[in-house]
Amino acid sequence: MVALVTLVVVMVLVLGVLVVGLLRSHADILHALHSLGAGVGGDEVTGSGGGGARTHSHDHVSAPAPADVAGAPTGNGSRTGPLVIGPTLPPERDTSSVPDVTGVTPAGDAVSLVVGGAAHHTLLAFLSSGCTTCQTFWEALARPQGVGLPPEVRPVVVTRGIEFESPSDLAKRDTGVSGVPVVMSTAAWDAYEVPGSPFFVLVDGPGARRIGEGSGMRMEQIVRMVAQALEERGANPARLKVPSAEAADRQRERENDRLLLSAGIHPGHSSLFPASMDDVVPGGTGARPDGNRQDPAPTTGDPGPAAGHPDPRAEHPGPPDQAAIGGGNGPRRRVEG
Amino acid sequence: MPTVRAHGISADLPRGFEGRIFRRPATGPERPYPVAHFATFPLPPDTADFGGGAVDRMGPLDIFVVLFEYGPESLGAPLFERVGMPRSLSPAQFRPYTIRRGLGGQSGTQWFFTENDRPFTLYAVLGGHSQRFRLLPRLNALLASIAVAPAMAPQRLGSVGSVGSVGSVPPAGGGSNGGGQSGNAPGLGGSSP
Repeated sequence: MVALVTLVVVMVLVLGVLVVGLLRSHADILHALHSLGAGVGGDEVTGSGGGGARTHSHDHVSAPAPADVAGAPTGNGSRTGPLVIGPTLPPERDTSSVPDVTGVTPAGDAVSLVVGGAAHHTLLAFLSSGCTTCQTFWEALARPQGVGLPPEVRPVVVTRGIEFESPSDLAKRDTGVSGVPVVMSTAAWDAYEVPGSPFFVLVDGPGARRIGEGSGMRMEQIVRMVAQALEERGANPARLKVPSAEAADRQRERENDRLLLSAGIHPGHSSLFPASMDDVVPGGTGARPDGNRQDPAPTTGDPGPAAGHPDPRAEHPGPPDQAAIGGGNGPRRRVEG
Repeated sequence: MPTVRAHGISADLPRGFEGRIFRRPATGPERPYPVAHFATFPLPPDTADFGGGAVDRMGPLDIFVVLFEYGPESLGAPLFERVGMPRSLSPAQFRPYTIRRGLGGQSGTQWFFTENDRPFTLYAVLGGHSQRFRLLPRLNALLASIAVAPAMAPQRLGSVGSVGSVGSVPPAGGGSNGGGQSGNAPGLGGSSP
């Protein structure tokens, strides 16, 4: 009987040790994920300077405790440093500069975007093509209207330059990022002292200062950081005019172009310049349903857009001279006007 | 001061300007040539060549500029007989009807010229015609900073590797700041010099 009791006690003790070990291991994993910004159990928000201690853990981005915020509130109630989410950043980082972003696009074009001093706010998304965590942000930014960013915030994707990134890889992603500029610029990564990807910097354009930065695992975390930073850091009033009707028209035009191109109908294709109804309805008689004969359209003998035909991609003729320009010797596509 | 340089065009952007120098991918038998956009407001990535999708986002204090290159077949055409890009525009050269779309309050000007054996048109829009005296110094600062390299062989144009390092772009201004203009009709005959 005594032996049986002793055996049970030993077993209970062993199982207790195992349970405690498992709990500790689980806590370590949660802690590690939390410090990576995974948001398990809540998001981490600290003040600027990167040296702030962790504050609260809630289901949303919580307000930093006063001790975590670098600098005292300014006259308009704003704080001097940016709101920081994610892993602690080195305290020696310069969080004040807001240089313009200059580089090339994945298509190989030169581009420079105004950040500090702009009339709008800018959310710089430093992403990479090879970073698996970045994938969710590439996908989210493909539909920038749907991610919930305030309308006065302009999202901009910044990757490293062509010495680190493959333009062809990025070009594939670029086609999925609608309306969001993608700039390849190692200089911008250096200027903003980006510790790795993904990383985000929110710049108050009119105020020419950073008001938020850090990393996260989901776009929702970044959107919450943006909203909180705009509110808590006393962001200046900003504007970013985006005409929705125009955007819808252009989206529709892009889709029409895509369908035409996929069907092999390129600018200058003969089907775009019918000379008679027979060209429109193959095998038809050229007669209208009402029995009236369709007069053939006048032909110029030169089917090229430069000869005065409307550009199939153009809704309207461009500035007044366009139709006559180009000498008529070579097709010259002009996208709308 | 940020500098953008591609396809033989470069510009030192004055404060507040952003820019993009690009060439659209060819589809079909067309031959695309470089286009440069400069603006004091956020340029949508899919802005059309002459500002479609962008000019309607302008505020009254905004500026939009297009530098649009034509093919070599246009060289020597009377329309392009002016030598050198205009570097200093005056308020009288902007007309509310010299714009592609009649957006209220805006005005524009358009010039055709040849620079370094490359035919171009320059199309500039002011967000507020009433603000032209205030806006023109900024616009002229941009125009003074634009440089166009001599024409290159067609096969060198457009490769990704050429971006940002296309040829040597001569400094802006010298020799091509033609003050007295010939009778090239800018746009709808509106802004003759």
